[in-house]
Amino acid sequence: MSGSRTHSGGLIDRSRPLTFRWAGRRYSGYAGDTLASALLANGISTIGRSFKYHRRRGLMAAGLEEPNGIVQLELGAATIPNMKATQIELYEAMVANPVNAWPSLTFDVMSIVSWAKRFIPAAFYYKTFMWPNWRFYEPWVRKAAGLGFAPKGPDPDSYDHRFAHVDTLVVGSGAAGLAAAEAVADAGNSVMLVEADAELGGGLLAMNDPVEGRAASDWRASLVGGLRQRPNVRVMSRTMAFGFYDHGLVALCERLTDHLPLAERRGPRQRLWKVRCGRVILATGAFERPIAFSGNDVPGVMLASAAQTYSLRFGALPGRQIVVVTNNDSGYGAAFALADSGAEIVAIVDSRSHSGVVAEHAASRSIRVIPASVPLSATGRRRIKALVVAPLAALRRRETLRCDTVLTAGGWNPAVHLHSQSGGALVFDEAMQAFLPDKPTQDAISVGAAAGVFDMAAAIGSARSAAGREGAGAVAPFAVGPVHALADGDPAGQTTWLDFQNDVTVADVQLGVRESFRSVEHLKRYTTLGMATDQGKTSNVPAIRTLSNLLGKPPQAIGTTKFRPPFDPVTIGGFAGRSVGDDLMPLARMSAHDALVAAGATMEAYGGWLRPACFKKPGETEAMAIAREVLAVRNSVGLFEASPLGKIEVKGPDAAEFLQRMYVNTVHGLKIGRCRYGLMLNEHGVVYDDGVFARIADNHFLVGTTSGHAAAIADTFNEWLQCEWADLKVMVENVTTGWAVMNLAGPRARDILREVGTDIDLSAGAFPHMAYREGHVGGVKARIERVSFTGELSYEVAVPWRYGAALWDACTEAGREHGITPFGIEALMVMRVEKGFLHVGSDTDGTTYPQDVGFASMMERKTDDFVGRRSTMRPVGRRDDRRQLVGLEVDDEGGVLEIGSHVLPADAVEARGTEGWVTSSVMSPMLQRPLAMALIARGFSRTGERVRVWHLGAWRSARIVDPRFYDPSGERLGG
Amino acid sequence: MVDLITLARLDSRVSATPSHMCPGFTLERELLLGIGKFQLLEEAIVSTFETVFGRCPPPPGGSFLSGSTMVSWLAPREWLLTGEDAQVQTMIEQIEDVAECALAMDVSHARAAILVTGSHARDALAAMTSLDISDTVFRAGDVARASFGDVAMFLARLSDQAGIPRFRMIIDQTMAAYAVRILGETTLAAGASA
Repeated sequence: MSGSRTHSGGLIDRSRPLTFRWAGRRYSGYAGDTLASALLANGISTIGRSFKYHRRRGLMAAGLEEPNGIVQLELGAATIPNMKATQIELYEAMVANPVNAWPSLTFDVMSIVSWAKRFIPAAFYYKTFMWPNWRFYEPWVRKAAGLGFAPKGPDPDSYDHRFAHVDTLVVGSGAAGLAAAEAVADAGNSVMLVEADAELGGGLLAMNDPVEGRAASDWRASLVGGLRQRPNVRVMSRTMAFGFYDHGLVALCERLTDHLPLAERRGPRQRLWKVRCGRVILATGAFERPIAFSGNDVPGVMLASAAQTYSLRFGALPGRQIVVVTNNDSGYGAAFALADSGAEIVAIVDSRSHSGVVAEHAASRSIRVIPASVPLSATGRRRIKALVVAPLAALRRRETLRCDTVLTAGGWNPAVHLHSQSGGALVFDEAMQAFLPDKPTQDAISVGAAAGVFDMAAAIGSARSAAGREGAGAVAPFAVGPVHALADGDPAGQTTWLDFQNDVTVADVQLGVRESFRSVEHLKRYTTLGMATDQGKTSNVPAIRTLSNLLGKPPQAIGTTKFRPPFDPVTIGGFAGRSVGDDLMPLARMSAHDALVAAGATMEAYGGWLRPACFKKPGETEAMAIAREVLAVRNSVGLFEASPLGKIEVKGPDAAEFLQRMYVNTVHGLKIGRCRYGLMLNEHGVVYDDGVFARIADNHFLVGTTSGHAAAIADTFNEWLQCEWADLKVMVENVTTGWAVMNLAGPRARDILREVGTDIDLSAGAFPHMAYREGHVGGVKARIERVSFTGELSYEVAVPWRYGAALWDACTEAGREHGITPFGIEALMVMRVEKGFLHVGSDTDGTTYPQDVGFASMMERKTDDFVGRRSTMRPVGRRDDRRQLVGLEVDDEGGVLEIGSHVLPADAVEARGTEGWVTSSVMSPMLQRPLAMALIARGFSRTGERVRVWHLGAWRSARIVDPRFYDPSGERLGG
Repeated sequence: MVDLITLARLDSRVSATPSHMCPGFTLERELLLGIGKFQLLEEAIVSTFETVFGRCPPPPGGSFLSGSTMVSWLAPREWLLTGEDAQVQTMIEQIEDVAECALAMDVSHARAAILVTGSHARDALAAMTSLDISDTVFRAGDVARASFGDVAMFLARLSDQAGIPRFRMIIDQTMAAYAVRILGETTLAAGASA
């Protein structure tokens, strides 16, 4: 234990103590702490175990770049895996636990893996586990790897979405961000200022230096207060800008309740914003770069800026005896701040020969500066005990510095992620040893540290200039000194860590290069460098520098891996928003939904509609209910709500010509008041949809589509009219949900419809099969089509939607004495299979041409062209082994065939060389035997042939037959 | 003969007038609003509008009042009528009479109209639509078509009532329950509104 709480100072509220549990033990902190700062203040050094080798890990950073402090937050359904302790605001009664450690963090059995590191370097899994096979090892590897665990139950939280439009979005609220937001707001533009942290201020929250002549805290308070007062400024803290997309779209994740105790949380946990911005000012700051040396992953090694933040913002000292390792001036600032907080600065090890004024300041504080020197190795297992340093020019002249903490300051990497996501270029700055934002492709500009401007006055000045679209003046680069580069094969590379969470060392990079993974993208995948939850925010640039040294190519030539959203992990719930449960894919309800449910319907989702599968009576199975419904329709009358059937009005002088071009069938000759079956293809000649279209008037058609497909067909119509046939005078309107449709089917259907009451002559002569009539039913206007998908006398009665439920009730009442029976989708499917009727989507797939389902002669008769015709005539469409839709009858007593079963020749002995498959399969209550339809190679010419049917290892015997199993002559339709 | 009109009126599922009070805004289903839609062939547009409405068509994204009926642009050659049911019916008949070939129809049964009113009405809508409906961009009389969550929406900004904005959203009637449910989930947590 080395960390401790300072007696005073920091921005925490010492009047509000909080208790929390970590790894089963109780600790205390203060309001304003993060879990990380509270653990540090309580002297916790080891906070996690690394992903692969289970090595001890302590805190390295204080922000979202933290690679080590990964925890499991809370328990049960509320648990969240792999949260960064540095991003968790402490609240009362918080429960957090370490991850990737068993049985405990201090005694982790799997840490034994660390001793075998030499045998399991980067990408070992590509070279091992070959014998006997991968699956033998997989369960063990999966158990050994991984960090936290996902909750087992559903997420109890809710999430929200919000869209916004703003003239200027400012990302980041450090000095540059605040100055830019103020300047933009002064110009009268609408501004959104977002900050990922709970507090606005960025680096201002952890600095002692004055800003524009005022204390940093006063300067910050003044600007924040002023911005909050402005009506044209929206200030949002706890809001992470995580994605910068095309056309000025920036995605934000706002944390609404994560900072509250569980019991006090109300409403959505997080809100995902999609903000369309006129302009984006990126004041995203910079991440400090660590300095690599052997043993640099031992707890107690931390970024200098993080230590400064813990000390000045959170009142938590990371250690008592501190060595600062640096190659630039910022390390001195951290050393001075920690010294002021009571820590002993053992030495500042600076790789530069001449440090100028900061070295003089150190001398005035009696802090020892070791110039032109670098760290070589650390000692200590649970916590660092000493650091070995040596002059860069004489590495054998070593000195051991006793310490409990090592702070590294290797320079700064501007947070260029959003700039790069937006399409902006990057350029490597040799002086800074960092990638800087270069040419933007959108109206966006980086300011302050995000642009590589680290001098406070210059950063503020550049931000104000950028806000006013003025060019920023030239700024002297923030130059850094050298770092010690390990030679290829140097044993120290085995213990010199680059990626702390994923356990990638300098030696791993060297191995990757030796094995020809020289592209930084390939190296990333091979070694997993930069693929952890921190996405390489502290490891990428040092790794690129290492790669640069190995390849002898400048970093600019190597480039970076692609920066992709999200900048920082975002919850899946945030992306889902309110689209969960019933609202994931909203289902349409039938007009008589309540009556259907009251009648015992088992409602299921079919094509975006909630429809009755069947109507089970007490004691019935689904199969029994379906059989009863089928028999009722065949013997008397059934009632079916068919409202989801697509209904599209097509009107205009060229309506007939348009439909003639869209359908396989001929349209021109259709008489007014008559219906015709229509088969529709896509441009590839594949069967796309079918339905019945009726001619209402010479220039007016009502086109039917399959259920749930109306919107797609209407869109297809409009696409052809707008893009290909703009000369046709045709208007299209999808009216599906304006008309409720009740289907009366069965020998008594006409009687029931008469009983309900209509002014339409229903006699067979006046209203024959495949006819359309308009009139009134039950006193309201109605459209009736005498069409049938059951093979029985059938009327599809359409009334304005609001009368649908009343029509259902009226039909039910009128049919009571005839035993009218409501029937569902499943009974309808049984009846259409009995009739051998095609069901597009079930009996067709993405390769089915019309000639495969019996429409070859119809196409030959039609002289006009239509969509898809040419495609059906390609060689593939003329192959004689095409799969064709036929019937199948089983020869054995094995019940119905499974849909999807493969059909093979009668002499097949193994399941190879399938000739097709079962597309529909039912038990026929009328015929008392299983029936099936199948797509089988050369099926039309094989009627009567025996075949074998295979399904998951089981063989059945069947015979190819004509699919018109029931009433093949169609006599019942004319009833 | 069965009287479906009477049966439907007796049906509480239809006669109910749901209204939801949410923090900062109100949702009200406009069950009696007449909604008509018409399409015209290019050559009939000007003459039909002049005869029926006495003026030119509204510009894209615009609307005008004809009596108490709002005539709104929907798409090229498509317009929406919203208002008192009988007046909408009359206009549909007039359009059918005047234009040589028009596709004009009553879509009141196919659509659901929801009035979203209140100081936080914009926040509520902004949770589900990407439209910019800020006061200066989407003014009274402006209309637009957009997505509302997973469904298509027509949105009109009506005249303010005592300085309080009012929006009329029209969606497919089968999605009305979804829209009301998901709008009702709007929670104006701290920091959510300007």
